[in-house]
Amino acid sequence: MHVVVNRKELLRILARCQGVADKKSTMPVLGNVLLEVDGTDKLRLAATDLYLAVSGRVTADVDKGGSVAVGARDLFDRVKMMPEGQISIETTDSSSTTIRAVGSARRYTLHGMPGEEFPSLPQPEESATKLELDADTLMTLIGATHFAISTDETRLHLNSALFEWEGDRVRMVTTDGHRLSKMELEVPGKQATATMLIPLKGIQELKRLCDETKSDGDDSGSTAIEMIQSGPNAFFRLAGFQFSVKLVDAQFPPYQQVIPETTEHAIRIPREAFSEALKAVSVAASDRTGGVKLTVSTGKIRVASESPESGEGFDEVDVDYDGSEITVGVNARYFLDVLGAIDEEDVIVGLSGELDPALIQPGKDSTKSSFFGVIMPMRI
Amino acid sequence: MNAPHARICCLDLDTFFVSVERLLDPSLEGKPVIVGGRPGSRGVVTACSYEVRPFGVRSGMSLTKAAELTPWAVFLPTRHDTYGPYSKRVREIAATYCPVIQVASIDELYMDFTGCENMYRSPGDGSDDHVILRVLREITRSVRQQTGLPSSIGAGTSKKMAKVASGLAKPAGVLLVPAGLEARVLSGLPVRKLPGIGPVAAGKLHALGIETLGQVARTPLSALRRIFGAWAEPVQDGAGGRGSADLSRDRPAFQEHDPEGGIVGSISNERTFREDVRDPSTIDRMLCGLCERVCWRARKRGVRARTVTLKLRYADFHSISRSRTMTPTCSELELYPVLKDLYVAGRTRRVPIRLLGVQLSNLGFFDGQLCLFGDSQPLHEGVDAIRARYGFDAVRLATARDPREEREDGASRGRASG
Repeated sequence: MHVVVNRKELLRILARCQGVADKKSTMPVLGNVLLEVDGTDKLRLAATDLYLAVSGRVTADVDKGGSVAVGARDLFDRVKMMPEGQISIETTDSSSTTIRAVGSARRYTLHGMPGEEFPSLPQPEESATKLELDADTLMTLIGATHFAISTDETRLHLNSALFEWEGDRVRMVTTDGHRLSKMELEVPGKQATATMLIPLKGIQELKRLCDETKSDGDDSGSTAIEMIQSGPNAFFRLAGFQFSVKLVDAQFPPYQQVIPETTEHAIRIPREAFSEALKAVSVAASDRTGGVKLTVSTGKIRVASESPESGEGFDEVDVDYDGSEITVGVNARYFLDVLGAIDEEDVIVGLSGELDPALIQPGKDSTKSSFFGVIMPMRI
Repeated sequence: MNAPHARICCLDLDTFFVSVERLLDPSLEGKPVIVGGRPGSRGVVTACSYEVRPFGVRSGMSLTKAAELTPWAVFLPTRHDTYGPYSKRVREIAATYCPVIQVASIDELYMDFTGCENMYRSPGDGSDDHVILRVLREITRSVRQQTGLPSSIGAGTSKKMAKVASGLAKPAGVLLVPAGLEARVLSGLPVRKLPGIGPVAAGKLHALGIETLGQVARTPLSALRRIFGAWAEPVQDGAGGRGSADLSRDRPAFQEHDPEGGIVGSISNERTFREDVRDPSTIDRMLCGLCERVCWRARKRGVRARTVTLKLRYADFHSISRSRTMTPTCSELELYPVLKDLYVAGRTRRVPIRLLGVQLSNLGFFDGQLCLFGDSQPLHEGVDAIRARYGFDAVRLATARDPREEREDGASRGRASG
C-alpha cells in the first residue's frame, strides 16, 4: 500500500479511531487502527473494541492499494509530530509501515500487521430504516442526561441511556438508580418510532464525535446525523464518520413509575444562586457521602453540611416559597448536575417527604422541550 | 414491654442406650446394665444404668475397670444403628413443641422457648415460668408415651444453665431455674457440674481450695486464667449463671468473626467441593450460597463492599481470581449476577472445579443514599431477622438450595406431621 494524504484530515479521523481502539484488550489487534485503500482516491481508517466501532475516510492519492493495521496510539502520536501538509504512507510486504512528511526528511517506521487480520466491522443491513436527526438535537439530549448514567459496568441496564423516538418527539432517559434525568424534544416533521439502550461508552464517544464535528464545522448550521438500528447495533453517520455501538440487551428500569406526578411543595429557586450555594457548602460536606441538608422555610432555602471530619458549612438563598418547613438530605453533586443541565433563570424544586424523591424542572414550561431530574434523598 | 429473657431448655435422655436396650429387652428392667462391650474387653462404657452408678461406674470408663467395680452387671455391646431412630423420634417430638432446636448429641438437645409463653398459655396458668414448666412436663410425657424412653429437661436463661439444670432434674424430672436465681442455684454445686470443668481442671481448683461453683464465681479472674487460659471468663460467667443462649444452627466452620462496623480487611468464604465438580447447577448452587454468605456477613457488620473477587481453583490446582468494582452493595440479589459474570468470564478451561471462593473488599459504610427502584433493604432486614433466630439456612435463595435436600426435607416433614 502506498498513499499520500492530508495531515490535518488524517489526524481528525485518527483522533476518533485511537479513542475507540482498545489498547488494554487481551486481543492485541484491537489496539490497532486499520488503514485500507478504498476505491481509487480514498483511504479508510477504522478502529473497534468489539463494542464500539468507528470508521472514516480521507481523500488520498493512491499509488498502490492494500491495507495494514498499526498501533492506533503510535500512529496518532507520530502523525501529530509531522509538519502541516501532505503525508505519505507506505507499507512493505511484511506490514512494516513508513510515514513520511512530503517535502521534509521527517519519517517514522512502524511495525504493523496485515489488514486482513483486523476484525471486520459491523455494517447495517440494507433494509434497515434510516432516521435523520440534527446533531444539535442529539447533543441536547445527551448533554441534559449523560451525567445520570451509572458508571457501574456490572449493571448494564443502568450503565446506558434509553433513547426513544415516538412520533415527532425524541427523548433520552438515564438513571443510576439514585437519580434520573429525562429530556424530551420536539422534532417537527420527523415522525418515527425507535427504542434503543445505548451504553455509556457509546454515549461518551457519540458526544465527542458531535463536539468535534461542531468545532471542526464552518458554523453553517447543524449537521445531520443518520441513525440506523440494525441487528444488535446502532449506527450513526455524520461528517464522514460511521460510528457503531453494540446496544445493551437489558431491560431499562420502569422509570415512569418513579417519577412523582405531583409533589407536596414546589419551590421556585434562582438557579445560579442555588448552584453557588450548593457548590460552596459541598466543599465542607463529608467526602464519603457528599451529603448536604436542604431546609426550606418561608422565603428561604438553607443549605447546610456537617460532618465529623470536615466541620460545618452553611449558606442561604432567597426563594419564592410560603409554606411549612421541610428538610431533606441530598447529594449536592446530583443537584448540581441537574442545575447545570438547565438554562432558565429559575428552577422549580418539588419536594414531598424527607424520604420522597425530589423533582427538579426548569422555571418555564416549553412545548418544544421538556426536561426534569428526579433525585432520591439521603438519610442524613 | 420488656424483651422476654432467654429460655433455653436442655432435654437429656436418661441412660439413653440402656433405656433403649431395656425397651428391646424388658427383662433388663431393674437390672444393672452397662453398654459398651464385653467385660474386660478394650472398649469403654458408653452408657450405664443408675443401678451401677453408686459403685463408681461412669460413661467413658474402660470396660476393664467397670468389670472390676461391678462384675455382676449385664454387659451389652453398643448397637449404634439401633439407637439412632429413637433419637430421631425424640427430636421430632421436641420439634412439634419448639420452633428452635439444636441437637447436641444423640441423647441431648436444646430447645429455645424464648418468647413462646403466650403460645402455650391456658386458663389457670400462673406465671410465664409455670406455662413453660407445664409444656416441658408435657414433652417428657410425650417422649415417654411415644418412645418409652425416660428423659429429663432443665430450663434456664443460658445453655449452660439449662444443661446443669437437666443434670439436677435427673432421673426423669423437669427443673426450671427462674431468671435471676441462677447464681443461687449454682453456688452450692460441686465444680464438676458445670460443663467445661473437667477432671483435670477440677483437680487444679481443688488444689486451690475451690470446691463449689459459687467459689468459682467469686475467684479472681487472674487465678482462673492460670487454670482455664482464654476460657476463664466463660467458665466464671457459667458459674455465675450467665452464658450464651444462642442456638443458631451454624456449623463451627461457618462461625465467622464479623464485628459490627468492621470495614478493615475483607469478608471472604470459600469451599472445597467434596469431589471435583463439572455439573453447572452444583457450581451455581455453591456460587450462590457463597454469595449469600458474604452478603449476609457484610450486613451483620453493617457495611457494603465496592469490590468483589471470585476465586476459582481447578482440579489440577491451577487457581485464578477475578475482581470487579461496582456500586457498593451488601445484597446477594445485586452481587450474584456480577459473580456469575465473573465466573463465566473466568472459567476458560474445561477442567473440573475443586474450589470456589468469594471475597468482598473495599468495605465502607452505607452513605444514606436512597434508591429510586425497589429498595431491597426491607427484604434483607426480614431475612436477617429470621436468620438471627433460626440460623443461616432458614432462608436461602432458591438457586442455593440443593433440590435433593428439598425432597428429603419435604419427606421428613411429611412423616413428622403424619
